[in-house]
Amino acid sequence: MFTYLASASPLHRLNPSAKLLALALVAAGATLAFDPFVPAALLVGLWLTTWIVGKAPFFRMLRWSLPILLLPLPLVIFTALYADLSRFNAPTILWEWGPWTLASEGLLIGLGLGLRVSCFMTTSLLFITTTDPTDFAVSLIQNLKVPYRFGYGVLISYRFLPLLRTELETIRFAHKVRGVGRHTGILGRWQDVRRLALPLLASAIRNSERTALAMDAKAFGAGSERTYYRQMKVRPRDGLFLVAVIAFILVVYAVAIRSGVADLQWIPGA
Amino acid sequence: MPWGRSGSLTRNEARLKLDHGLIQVEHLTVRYPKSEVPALADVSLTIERGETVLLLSPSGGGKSTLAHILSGLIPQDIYAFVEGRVRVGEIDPTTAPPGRVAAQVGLLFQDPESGFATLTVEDEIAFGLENLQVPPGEMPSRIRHSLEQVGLPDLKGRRLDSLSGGEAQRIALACLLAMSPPVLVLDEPTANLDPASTREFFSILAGLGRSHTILLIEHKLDACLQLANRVILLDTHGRLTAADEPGRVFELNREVILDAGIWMPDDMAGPSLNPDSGVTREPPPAMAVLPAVQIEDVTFAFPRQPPVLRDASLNIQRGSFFALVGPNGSGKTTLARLMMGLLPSPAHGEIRIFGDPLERLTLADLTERVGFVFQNPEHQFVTNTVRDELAFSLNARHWPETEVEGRVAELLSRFELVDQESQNPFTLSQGQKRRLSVATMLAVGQRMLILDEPTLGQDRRTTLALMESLSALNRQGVTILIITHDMWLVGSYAQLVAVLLHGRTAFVGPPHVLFEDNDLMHSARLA
Repeated sequence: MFTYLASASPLHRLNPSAKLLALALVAAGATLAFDPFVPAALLVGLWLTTWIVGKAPFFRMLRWSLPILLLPLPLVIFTALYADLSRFNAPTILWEWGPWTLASEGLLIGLGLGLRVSCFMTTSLLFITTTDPTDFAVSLIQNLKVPYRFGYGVLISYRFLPLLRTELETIRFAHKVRGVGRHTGILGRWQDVRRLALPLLASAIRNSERTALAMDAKAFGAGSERTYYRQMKVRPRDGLFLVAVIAFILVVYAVAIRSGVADLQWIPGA
Repeated sequence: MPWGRSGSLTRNEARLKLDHGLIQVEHLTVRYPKSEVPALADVSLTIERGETVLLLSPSGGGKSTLAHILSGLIPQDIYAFVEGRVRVGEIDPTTAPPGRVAAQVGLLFQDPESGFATLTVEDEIAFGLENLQVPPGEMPSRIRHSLEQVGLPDLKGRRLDSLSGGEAQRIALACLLAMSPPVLVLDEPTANLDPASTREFFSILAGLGRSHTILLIEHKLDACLQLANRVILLDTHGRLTAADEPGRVFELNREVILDAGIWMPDDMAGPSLNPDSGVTREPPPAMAVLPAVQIEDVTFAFPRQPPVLRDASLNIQRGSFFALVGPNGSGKTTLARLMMGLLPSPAHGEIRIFGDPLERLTLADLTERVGFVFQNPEHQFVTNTVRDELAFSLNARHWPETEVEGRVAELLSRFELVDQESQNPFTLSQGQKRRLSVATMLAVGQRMLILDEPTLGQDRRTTLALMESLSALNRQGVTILIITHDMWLVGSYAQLVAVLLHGRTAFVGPPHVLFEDNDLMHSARLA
């Protein structure tokens, strides 16, 4: 869904592993609160950072924000309907029908959960749009000491996804010309998917075999060590970014606790 | 043990051998586990340092097997039973560690795209150097030098997926040159390239001069013959038939070569295969001049992209054999897909199929009139047996069962697939897959056939078989539109040819008129 947007913004120049760590902290920050305010504040922070510091085009950001906000909606609704209201003394009932009760307390819990998911998606928005895939793979290998075979696996999947998409489109056309793809109903759709899957799988396997052979012919995996053309160093600015992110999370929590909107179930009595 | 199987040789004997040839193969037999017959049978040959050797064999005749042996992929990656002795420089590629083999032998594949492991040109060239543990400080100069060697010095930072086919293959060659192996093995490097890119690729190889020992596997003998100082010919059973200078090999083995389905150089293939010899093909049956496809001033663009077609016009008469040519990205495939109703209606212009405007035809109407054959036959297979495959569109149109039976039987015998009737389409040979894909597209009695690069990367026998059957269909009145890069096919089979250039129709006329227009041939990358 999101794609890498090449540019030379300060976010692009960060070490990918440091960026990944910082975003993991933000995700953790969103996980530890059960109210809507904390994840919403973190989400807005991430969004503005991607737009302003990461120099992502505004309209594309808007287009990508839509699924970020809409996809968790079913989660919000069902959580709100099935929330355990027994821990509230006098829940504010908004609507009641049969077994379902919608209370404003339950709605808040649902919103909190939905925004948490949206916040996770926004961390990947920031990461994917501002991280050069090759830098990421090399940084995994050099900074996080991930085995290089795995690091290259990540890189090759970046290469394969667009190829598979074109391939799938061609196969769809080829089937359409044969009069396939006009099925309705769940069973018919399932048949269509199965028909597409075999040729797609066949060509994906053939492609990956070819890639593997070509890589082996260039001595990939020959030694336990390789040298690297790109050097991904951890610089002071990466530490600075990490500190700024931690400070931001702490400020969000401080404001939430001070104003009493925080719902921190893991702190006894909070 | 880097000395591999010849570890028993004394050092002096080994040195003696070294002086005798860079590549030495002695009594080499290779058999794949699932096969009864060997792919290579008792092959012995020597290639001297600095030689460029052209390796020929019929499909499945062991060319690629030899390429994979020399580059160490067999048996280290692809398992096979290997007997005999192989030596490249100081190593035995079948047992030496992969790093040492890659430093000796560079292997170039037919399809550069699927061989790339990274995303940009410089990273891809660096990839091999990294595997050889070249110090990072040395890499920039080696990358620059190899790009200069392939004549693309400015492409360093480009994304690999933005390269044209010709550029991609030259970059793939640069990746090997940067690793500076003394031996290059090229496995049909130009099979997917247009005529101009093919010519450019071979002139780069010629520019490498005698600095590399090159083993070249190639179909397009015309383009590469002057490069080779020797030709090695293997037969269908993987036996060495000839190893001599090109002229002699072609002279003495003419029958064998033609029989094996290898493309002969034009000037040696004889008159029946020469497009300029004025072969008069039987003209198609006289037909009232009625249009099959009328395309008028069509402009088409994909969302958020510059137009692919700009006011393109094309008229194809019923019963004609028409070729559509042009460089990569000129809009050939888009135009063909538009005719088939596979893309949204063009922003501007009109397309009529057998008289009716395209928008008024349903997919069922359209596919009943026009069949469309894709480059990869596998993409079109939707059932589990050859028989079901042929019956598929008939059943979808609710033909009565007896008629389906009769039609399928007729198609099976006409396309020589009777013995494969109950086989899975994916398990057929290349030629059979191709025949099946054409047969399925004629099942409901289509009056026109569009083929998008149906002969790409196929050998002479399969290509000729397809073209002959198209020609027979054409004589029966089926209109043929073929998209191709192959000027030999255009010259030998098409009555009319259209050139698309930057989304415009730059030429429509008989092939021989096009061939005389040198400027257009060059600007459309056809020569």
